[in-house]
This record gives sequence, structure tokens and C-alpha cells, in this order.
Amino acid sequence: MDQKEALRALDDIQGAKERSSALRGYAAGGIYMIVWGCVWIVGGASGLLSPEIGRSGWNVAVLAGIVASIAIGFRSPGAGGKDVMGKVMLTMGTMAAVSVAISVVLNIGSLREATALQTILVAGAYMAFGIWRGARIFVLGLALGAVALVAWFFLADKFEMVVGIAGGVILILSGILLRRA
Amino acid sequence: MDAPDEIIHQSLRLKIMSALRNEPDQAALEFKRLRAITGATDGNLGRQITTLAEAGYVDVTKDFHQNRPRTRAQISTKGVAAFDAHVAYLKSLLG
Repeated sequence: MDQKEALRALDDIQGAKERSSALRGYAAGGIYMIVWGCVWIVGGASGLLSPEIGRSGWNVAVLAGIVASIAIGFRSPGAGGKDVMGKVMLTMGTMAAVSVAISVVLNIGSLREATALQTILVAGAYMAFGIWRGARIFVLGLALGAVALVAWFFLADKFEMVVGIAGGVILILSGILLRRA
Repeated sequence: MDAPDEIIHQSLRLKIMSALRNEPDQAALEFKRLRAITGATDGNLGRQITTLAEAGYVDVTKDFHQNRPRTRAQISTKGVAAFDAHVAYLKSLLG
């Protein structure tokens, strides 16, 4: 065996490792996407009833999503118990803090603006995570962001419903696909 | 090690071993996941896994999961040692 062949073999090893890690990330992330897809649908659908119900609907749905994410983190194989819970809590806390900070700075008051902010933040988080853990997660974030922007500019009167239901369906379908990876 | 491991050296078997070695705690991988990682056909993948199993490098488990047949492969202790030695040999060639 010469150096060229050795180099090619090491490239094959690295390629297989990267592909394996990406697929493991897809499978592990899928269940969280399904949970947050349900959060999106419940939050968006509750806004159809009235703005007040919509606001509390989103709060209840997000709270349920956080609790479910923590529970899933605990139950996942090789989760590592407190370490995982700490990271999940820290991630949620960071996202919430960034969201609140932006809301205050930009003086966001309406449900529509708050929904847009949450959606774009989550879409951005998926895209950033996808750069490290797999292209499909990046594409999912991109699709979610695109739905939010299209709804914002072209479907303003149905924004919450479109973002909630379309975004939720995208998340759930993607979660199912990722879990089958 | 002054020679490559001839069993692991074959391209598809090398990919299979890499994927299995990359699993946290050397957990088992399902056949369909290995197929997605390697891009191999079912027949070729099955043949190479059998070769690795006959060498004692992987353990193959067949069972039913959610009423469907499932085949899983897991790298053995012997397989870990052989793979690590093979990688060390490859790196030694590059200086």
C-alpha cells in the first residue's frame, strides 16, 4: 500500500464517520421537531379564536414543548442525565432570553410580531445547528424561515394561522423523515 | 503493525467498520442505517457484514422490532482493536 492509497482510505474513514454522525443527529433531533411542530400548530390554531386566547395558547404550548423536550432528553439512550437536562434548559433559556431581549429592544407588542420573532429565531437556530449536524436540519430551518417571511409579506391577515399550521406541519413531517434516516 | 488488515482494508468493509467504531459506546447500528451511511446495495452490504462477522470483528443480531424484522451489527472488542491498528498503520504510512 502506498501513501496515496492510505490517504484515500483515511478519507473514506472520515467520510463514513461524518455521515454516521449526521444520521445519528437526524434521528435524535427528529423527536424534538415533532414536539415543536405540535407546539406550533396548537399556538397558531389558538390564535384563530381570539388574540387573547392566541397569546395564552402560545404560552401554554411553548411551556408544554419545553417540558416535553426536557423529558425526552432525560429518556433518550445514553442521555447522560443531568448533563443533558442542563444543556436543554440552557438552550431553552438562551432562546427565551434572546427572544425577550429583542422584544424589549424593538418594542414588540402585537401577537403577530411576537410570532414572527419566535419563528425566525427558531428557524435561525435550526439553520445554525444544521451547519454542524446535517444539511437536512439546515434546509428545515430555511423552509420554516421562508414560510414566515412569505406569510409576513403576502398573507398578513392570516399570518399566525399560516405560520402556526404550515410551520408545524413542516416540523412534524421533517421530524418523521429524520427519525427514519 | 507493519501491514494493512486485509479484511478491513476493502473499501466497503472499511466504511462499515468506521461507522460502527464511531457509535458512542460502540452501540449496534441497524442494517438500513449502515446502508444509508455506505451507499451500498443490500446484497453487497450483507456480504461484507458477513465477512466481518466471520472474522469476529462484528456481532450481528437479528430480531423483530415493532413487528418488523431487524438486523443490527455491532463492532466487537476484537474489531475495535483491529480497526484502531489499521488506522494507525494508515497514518504511519503518511509519516
